[in-house]
Amino acid sequence: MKSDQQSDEEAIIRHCLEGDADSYSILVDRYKTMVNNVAYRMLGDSDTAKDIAQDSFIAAYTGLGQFRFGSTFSSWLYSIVLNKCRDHLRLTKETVSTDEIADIRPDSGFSPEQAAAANQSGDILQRALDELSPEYREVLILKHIEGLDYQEISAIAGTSIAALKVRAHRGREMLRKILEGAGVTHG
Amino acid sequence: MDNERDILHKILDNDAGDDEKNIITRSMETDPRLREEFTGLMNTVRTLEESERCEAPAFFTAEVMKKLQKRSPSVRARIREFLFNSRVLRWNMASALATAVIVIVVIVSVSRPHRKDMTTASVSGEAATVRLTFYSPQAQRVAVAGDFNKWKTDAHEMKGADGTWSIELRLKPGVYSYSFVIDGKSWVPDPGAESYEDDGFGSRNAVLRVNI
Repeated sequence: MKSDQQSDEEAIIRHCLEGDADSYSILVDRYKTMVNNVAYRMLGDSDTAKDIAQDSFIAAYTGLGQFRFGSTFSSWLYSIVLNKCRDHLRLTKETVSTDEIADIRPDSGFSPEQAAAANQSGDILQRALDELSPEYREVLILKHIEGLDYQEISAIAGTSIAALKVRAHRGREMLRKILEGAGVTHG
Repeated sequence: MDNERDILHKILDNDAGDDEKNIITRSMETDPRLREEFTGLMNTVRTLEESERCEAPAFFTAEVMKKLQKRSPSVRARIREFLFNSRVLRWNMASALATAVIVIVVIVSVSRPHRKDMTTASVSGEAATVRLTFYSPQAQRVAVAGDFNKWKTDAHEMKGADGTWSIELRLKPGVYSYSFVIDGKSWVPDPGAESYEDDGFGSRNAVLRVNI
């Protein structure tokens, strides 16, 4: 059963498809923080995050004809921004494959210099997330920052729930060790 | 230990049953390392959940909207826009003179009152009944103000149905200036008027000519 918000958003999308581009600003306003935050947590840089977030909204608008009515616009946006982030990460850095980092490296964590820099920047969590590979980062962001359930994440990421749970399990272990290395999580 | 670690993560995913929770509770009482690990994981999840959201910068929406390549409207939308959107007509002296000539010819050649699609009139005694209609689906209320009611914005409220607003006025023969007032604040000249005139404040009023 559709929620009021979903029906409202479908009406806006239909207006956009009929050429009323101005209606789209309602959706951008509604989801700009969500998209920007996911991009920032994935990429670790606020300027790049803004560019990727804006590109995501433009791609969503350009592809509105492919939007499947009945699904939620936010899920669609999540998958678009995550694809943009993956593409960006592929282009800008060599990422380590999931299998290669499945074993937690004993030296993972901050060096004293990194910890000092992270403390100064006030965002130790972001520096710790940056240490993870994108597959782990992605599931932790969607599960614990965005508060989605595994079923939603599975639809967004195109990955089975079982595989996502394994990633979350490993990702949390890795993140715990990194944050403990930086002296954060023991409270 | 691996089994217990799996249960820890099931607890973090809200997947653990009561039996599994009891196992962990008992194990943590005797195993300080497990307790420490569980506390560390809980703190890690809490750090994620309570992390500050990175707000989109100012003008984010405006910048996105500026970059959009406008989609060309569908045929249906174009027809609707053509039929129902209000327009401001621009004119110059030559076209105004030509229009005036046409109007005079039409008035002279037609003995009955002028009829239009949007504004119609019928004669009864000394006064004529003039019907004004206006399409504005977003409006909550629409009134007509003109020199026939001393430009009062609440003297002649129009009746709305499905976005079309209408009113019938009893007017004596003459030439009247008027405008529609949407929600008490927006003044819009009648898109269906036969002519317009400057209102002296930089906008235009519609002109209504009533003949007997």
